[in-house]
Amino acid sequence: MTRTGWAIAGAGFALGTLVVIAFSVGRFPVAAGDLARLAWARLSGAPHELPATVETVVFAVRGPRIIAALVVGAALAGAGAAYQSLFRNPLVSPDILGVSAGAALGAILGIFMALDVWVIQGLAFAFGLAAVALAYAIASSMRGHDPILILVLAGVVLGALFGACVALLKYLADPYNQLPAITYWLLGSLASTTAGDVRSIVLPVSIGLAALWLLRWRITVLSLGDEEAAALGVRPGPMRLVVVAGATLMTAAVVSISGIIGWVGLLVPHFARLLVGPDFRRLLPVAVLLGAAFMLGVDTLARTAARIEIPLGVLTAFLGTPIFLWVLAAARRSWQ
Amino acid sequence: MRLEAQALAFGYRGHPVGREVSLTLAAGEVVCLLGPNGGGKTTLFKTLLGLLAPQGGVVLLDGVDLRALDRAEVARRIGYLPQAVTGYFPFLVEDVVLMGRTAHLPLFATPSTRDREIAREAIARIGVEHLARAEYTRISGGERQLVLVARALAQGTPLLVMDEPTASLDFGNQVKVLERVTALARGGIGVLMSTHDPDQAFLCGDRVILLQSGAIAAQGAPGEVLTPASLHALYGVTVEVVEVPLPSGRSRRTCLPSLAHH
Amino acid sequence: MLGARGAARRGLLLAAAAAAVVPFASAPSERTITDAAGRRVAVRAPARRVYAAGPPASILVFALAPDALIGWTTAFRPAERPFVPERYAELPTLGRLTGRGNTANIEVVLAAKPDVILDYGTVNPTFASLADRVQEQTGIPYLLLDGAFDRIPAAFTLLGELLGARALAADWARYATATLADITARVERVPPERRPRVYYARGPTGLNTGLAGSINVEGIERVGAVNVAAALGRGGLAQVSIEQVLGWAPEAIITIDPNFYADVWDDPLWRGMPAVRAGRVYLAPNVPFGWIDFPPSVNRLIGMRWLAKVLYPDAFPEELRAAVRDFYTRAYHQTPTEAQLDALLATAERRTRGT
Repeated sequence: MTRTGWAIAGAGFALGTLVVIAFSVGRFPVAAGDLARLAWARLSGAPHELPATVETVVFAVRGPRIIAALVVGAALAGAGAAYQSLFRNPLVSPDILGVSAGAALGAILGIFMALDVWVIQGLAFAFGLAAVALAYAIASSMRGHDPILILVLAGVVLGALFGACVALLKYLADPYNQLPAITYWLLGSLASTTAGDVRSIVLPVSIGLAALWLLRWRITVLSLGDEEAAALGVRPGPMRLVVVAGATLMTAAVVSISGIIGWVGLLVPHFARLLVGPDFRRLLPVAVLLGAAFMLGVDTLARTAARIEIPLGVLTAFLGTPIFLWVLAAARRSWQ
Repeated sequence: MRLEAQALAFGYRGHPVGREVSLTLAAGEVVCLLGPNGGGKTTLFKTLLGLLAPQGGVVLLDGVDLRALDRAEVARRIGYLPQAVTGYFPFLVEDVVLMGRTAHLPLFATPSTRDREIAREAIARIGVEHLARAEYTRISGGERQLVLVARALAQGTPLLVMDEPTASLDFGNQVKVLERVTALARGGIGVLMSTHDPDQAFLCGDRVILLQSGAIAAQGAPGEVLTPASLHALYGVTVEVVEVPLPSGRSRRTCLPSLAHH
Repeated sequence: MLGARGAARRGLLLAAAAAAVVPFASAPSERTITDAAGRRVAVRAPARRVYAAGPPASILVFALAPDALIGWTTAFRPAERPFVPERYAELPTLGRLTGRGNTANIEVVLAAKPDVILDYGTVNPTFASLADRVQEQTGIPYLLLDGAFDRIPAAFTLLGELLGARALAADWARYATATLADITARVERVPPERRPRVYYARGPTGLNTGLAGSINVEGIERVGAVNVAAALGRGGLAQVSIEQVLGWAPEAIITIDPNFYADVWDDPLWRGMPAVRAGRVYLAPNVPFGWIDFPPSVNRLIGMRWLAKVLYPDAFPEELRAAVRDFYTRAYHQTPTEAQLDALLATAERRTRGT
């Protein structure tokens, strides 16, 4: 089997194991035997004699949360891989064009105005998309020599602007009630994920991943640089727009339900590139699988390691930094 | 297959580089473009390929305005060897050559077995099979240049534009690249290459174009165009052009520069 | 109705008259008052103009001597205004100066010419040093009062001495003591195993709660209920998972978030819980100020009664209406209308299916 084959098989196996573990652990005690009985009951349609709460915990609480973690990890890693290829920079994360800053502003506005949870999520999604659209509009209106640089700068500037708005809202927020809610949102969490949340992100993430998958060869060629890609027959401007749109759609969707989670979009594509190289045909599936596994592992840890929920953003940073340093030291080939 | 520039003005936004450039490139010929550093050679090439918009005049590909053709269409007819590309990601050489097939692929497709065949053949023809599984970023400059020639070959275009293909290559590699170029031309491909060395024009050029400050100073057969006077005007140095008899019985011209205080 | 209102009014008028005599009897003189942090502060008492540095202090001063209050820290929201007399609702907004998210501009505070700055809440070295700093910077005496539940009578007494409203303060102290004593006595008669297990659901998702000993669940723990989150230990606010709540299976859920309250009945994750099935989710009112949790000031006194009633319906059978009316009149200087009372008490009932 080729190296890629091994990588995919390995990632898939890790993923499967993690899913089983994730279903088995949690703050509400569920015996392994009960878990098996529930699974069998679900599959065969036969009734089980377990209390309704146990079924709720396994299928209505852990189930959506596990699926959400997988989707969030897959989306962030896929978007990160696409951006790192597109911008030819290993330090790029899906946040670079401002989608997370925009989503944060939307959600915090919602919290500030004491709106319903699904309105908060909707605002996060909408503002995330709007932020990148705005960055693109700004970059398009400035015709310069280096379109990528201008796009990234626009994203960074907008991110800073939205960050300032968020800071202002935090300052004005009621410190007893709104500020804790804002802080928790910014730290990232999947604690209150429901089946409805999962349903709402499946479509955008699927569209985004599908776009990246269909264009995988074009993205590979695009990672040579605009001029070379154009000489080889790829239109860099439109291709970049589609890739950014797909990646942004995915990222905005998952950030709207999970809050800000960093490092996954930066670290996992790196690791994947170490394993299978920069060819996007191989990089995308490996990054997606690894991202899903990583996120699931982290989220499972977040809900079981301490007496209270550990925010995901904190955990990915604590885990991500040493791993990143190790990758930096051990890997010599990931970038020049 | 024919590339034609008519009264072409080229440059960057707000920064014109050249004007009134008219030239042609047909299949099976090697055209050498000579000119001093900063004379506009690379800018001209990018305009001929459609990577830069013309600031005046027109570029015609088989009589059709280049701007009317889409990128893939142009890429199927003209290949491009850019100057001094080091690459960023460590792609394998065989993948780099494979990327030459992109222009022939539909939007969502990935290279097929046939494409991989063509790439392998191109690698073999250029003689870099031993590098096929090496990382593009780890091989030497000369080897990279040969890989790019293989990619251009895999691209299967009837015309090729090469920007200083022998720059920073050792003597042996320079000759090897020129050998390949000549072989390609004999195989029917039209090659437009820029060079710093007039001798290369004498060695393999069918026609020569002198580009100075963005305008064509002269164009024609190397023997007619490359004279001590024209070279002095172009480079500002004193050069002797000498016809040298070769053991094979033929003769070739070569340039002998003389140093100022000798 | 007129009689009851009239009686309360007369009582207040008498008290006010008595208090009005005092300032004339004793002109402002330099006194040294020891505040709750042990700081000896020189003030001119009785003070006429008080800048309350935080929401709890504002409510304390407003309850005792509304005319001494020179402004609020945040503006009233539209839903809150109808519960206080307009002239008080319109007092200027001056911002907070308590060290936790200051929004006050010191110059604005100085321009308002307060006689004294008052803070009411946690007393610890940080806040004490903050008080010293502000006092030094502005030259205005800064007093710290202890905001703990059981110190409410003492806080009133000290404040009464400061503002020259001793009689009213004594009246308040009696009221607070009596309320707490009554509730404590009746709760004590309930055997420990019959004490309800309560989950305090904060935030729109209801997964933010207060750990044991946090100021947010002080009311709940004070009425003897079992805070299910105490299983996680002592602390402040914490984010928990729905699994934990399901595991704890609380008998009653208290919340202050109207969105959570509206959604909890149909939410698939919550509706199977015993508390929700039994209809025992209660939304604490929060106009003009919260009844439980925050701001942690005397506004929570009525919240204690409310908690006692919803959590121990058998031990506290009497209607809340009279107590609420009396408290609002006394503390906020305006008797609520019957419609307002209806709205306040609507969420104290156990919800039956179909409502």
